[in-house]
Amino acid sequence: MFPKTKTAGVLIQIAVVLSLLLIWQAMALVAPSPALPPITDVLSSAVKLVVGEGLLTVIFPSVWRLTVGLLLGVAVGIVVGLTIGFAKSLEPWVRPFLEFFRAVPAVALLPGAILLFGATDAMRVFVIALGCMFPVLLSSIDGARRTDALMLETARVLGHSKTKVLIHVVVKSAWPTVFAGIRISMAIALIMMVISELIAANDGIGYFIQQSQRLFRTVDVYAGVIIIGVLGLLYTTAMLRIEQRVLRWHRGWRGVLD
Amino acid sequence: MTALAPARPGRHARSRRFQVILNAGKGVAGILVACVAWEAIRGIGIVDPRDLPALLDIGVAFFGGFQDPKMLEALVATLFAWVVGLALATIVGAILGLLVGLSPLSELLTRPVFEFIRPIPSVALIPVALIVIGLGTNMEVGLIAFASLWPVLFNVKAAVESTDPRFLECGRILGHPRVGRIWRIIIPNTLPSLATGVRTAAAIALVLAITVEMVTGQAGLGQMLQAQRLSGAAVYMWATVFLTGVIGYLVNVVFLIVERRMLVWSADNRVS
Repeated sequence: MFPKTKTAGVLIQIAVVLSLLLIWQAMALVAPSPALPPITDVLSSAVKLVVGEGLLTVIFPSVWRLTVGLLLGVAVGIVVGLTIGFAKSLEPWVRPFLEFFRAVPAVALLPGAILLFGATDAMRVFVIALGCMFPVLLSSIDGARRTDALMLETARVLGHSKTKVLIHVVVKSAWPTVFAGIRISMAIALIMMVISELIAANDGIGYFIQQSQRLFRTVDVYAGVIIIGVLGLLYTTAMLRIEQRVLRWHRGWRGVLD
Repeated sequence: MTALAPARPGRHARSRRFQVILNAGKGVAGILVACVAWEAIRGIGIVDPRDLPALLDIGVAFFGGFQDPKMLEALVATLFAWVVGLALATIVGAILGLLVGLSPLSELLTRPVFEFIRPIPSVALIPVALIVIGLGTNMEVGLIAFASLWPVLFNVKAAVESTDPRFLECGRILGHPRVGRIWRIIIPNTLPSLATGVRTAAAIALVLAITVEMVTGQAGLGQMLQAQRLSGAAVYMWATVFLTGVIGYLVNVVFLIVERRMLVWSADNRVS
């Protein structure tokens, strides 16, 4: 019974999705309940959010915060992380500090941020950036530390200055590890965006879902959740594409050495 | 030792024990630097000093909190929801992961469902849970369980699928029935991945517990943080923030220890 071809596999998956959607729709029409709105309504609400006036008031603020926070957190994390990983003497000083903050649930920092900065957009971006900085910082440290000693020695023997070595050898060989950290950071950034909008915001998708739930507009709640999922998917796919391009030369080159 | 560091006389002369103590000292110094930075920011006055209390005051409030019944109640409430949700997530996630990993057909059937749920951050489901289940501990525990079971499920599934086929063949040749092979070969193979998955799930569960409490006002540390912030009790709020951090850290450490014990015998440590 196991599908023999790839196309059969894809078709089965599509069939599963379609049948689940049909079951949902049927149940919603036959036994309407506040928790189970018809899927057609949910989808039309979602489309309205993207195409209609929701784009400016709901989606754009969230996307803006997410992008800026993510870029900020990742940039700072990479720069600081690679530096710490490269300057091995620096590491024992900062390790315990970082190990503690890595394990702190990022949501616990939110009340502090609200108290200090108020419920502003800057605060939300700051919280997103802070939350997503740590995974990429730690993986950058890791990536820089793991630089092949042979390459470092070769660079030194060739007479390169320390800065040149940093840029050409350490940074480039650390990219795969750094990207693994960026993937985690992306997930955390999305979570922090939603959390900050659920608790302390007056626009954005999280706020939209919160308000819809308070007004018992179940259709809008589901639509908002789907939009968030789609957003996460888009960002992850975009990042994977970037990673593939940046690492394209790396994989082939690594293969020669191994 | 990095190849770039010029060999300094006496560098290799340090004993290992001394090195460990020195590193610990450096770590403490690093934390002290952070404390000084906190007090400096406080002194400069970019933020209202009432919002950023002296670390000493926060420390006093932190240790005093352990005698405060309200704080202890909130702590117990959060930990309770966290433990129950995590336990549920572990059991359901492990069983589902095992079932899906063993049967390629069910993996194919469930894949679209899983891939659809994966990109949705579980915190976004809080309003959904409020509508579907309503307020209360059931909602909190249910949502924690739902959100935390995915790392367990995917880890167990991956471990089942990556069981060394040679072991399975050995089992078959030795006459073990299918069930025996699952019990004696596949399941032990999943234990290290299960431990990692549960550790990840524990962190997710904690974040979710606190967020649910913040958003819905359910009793617990999250609700306490909101209440303290809104009533202006900044010192107590920061003490609670620190407490939350300590709990997060302890959870991680405990699960790391458990994981390392599980990994001792596992294939990852086998010298091949």
